[in-house]
Amino acid sequence: MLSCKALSMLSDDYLENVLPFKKKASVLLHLAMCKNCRNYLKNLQTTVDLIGNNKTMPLESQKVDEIMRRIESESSTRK
Amino acid sequence: MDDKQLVAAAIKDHKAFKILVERYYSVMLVVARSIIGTSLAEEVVQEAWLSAYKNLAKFEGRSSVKTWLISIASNEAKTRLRKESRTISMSDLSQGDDDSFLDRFAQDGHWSKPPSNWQTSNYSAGNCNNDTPEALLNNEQFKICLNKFMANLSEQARNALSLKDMHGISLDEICNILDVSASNVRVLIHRARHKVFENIEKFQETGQC
Repeated sequence: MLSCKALSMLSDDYLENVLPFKKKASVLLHLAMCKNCRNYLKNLQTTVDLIGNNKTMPLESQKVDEIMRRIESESSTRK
Repeated sequence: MDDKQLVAAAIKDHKAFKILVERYYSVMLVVARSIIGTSLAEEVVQEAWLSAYKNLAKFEGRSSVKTWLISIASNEAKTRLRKESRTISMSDLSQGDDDSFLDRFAQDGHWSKPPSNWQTSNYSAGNCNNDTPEALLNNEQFKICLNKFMANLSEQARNALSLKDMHGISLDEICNILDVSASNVRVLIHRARHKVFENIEKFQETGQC
């Protein structure tokens, strides 16, 4: 049977739902019996969601403006 | 207007092009940073946008606009890297972050330090019933800590994790961008995620970074 450590090595693929059938079945069997690993996967999913939802780098409008100035200049050169 | 319509409109309409820049600047910056480093990334991204503008008419829609723009940023950064005669060694990548998470298992493979039961609602400002990551992100102190956790990762690990979890780039695309094997990228992302995991857990227990 899968150990907790072995399950943790499969955790990324499990969360992404890309595990082959047999491995997924062994993870599910383990989870049915192991509260710690259920907690672990729930927390790991929360970690992924938190990183994904953390929009902390608001786009600086100055950067966009710089690019648009170069585009304007490029298109006026073309004309 | 969807992305492909925007590209078509952007040939004649700078406003449409500006929407594309606003939508994809951040991901292109992470791509450039992961190849050439922080100091030259912004410059490379500017060049990449100029190149995208010049090639708007050539976009055939075979890939998504996001994939197309990422490949332009990636090519631009790699060209610049060659000009700068710099290389990123594989050892830099594999060293990324150690796998201290494995210390949480005993020799028999069972947990020696099992994960705690996270209470994501405890820290939400205003709505304690809202048991979601968004609720946790309402806590300013937690947001500061999460940024610190990401900043403490090695640059390569942070970039790989940002591409995967923040920008939803597939592992295959990340392999192409970083020019490394799938197994290397997987290890990099696995370790980085678990590093952040342990830091969040510490925050859960202590309320501090």
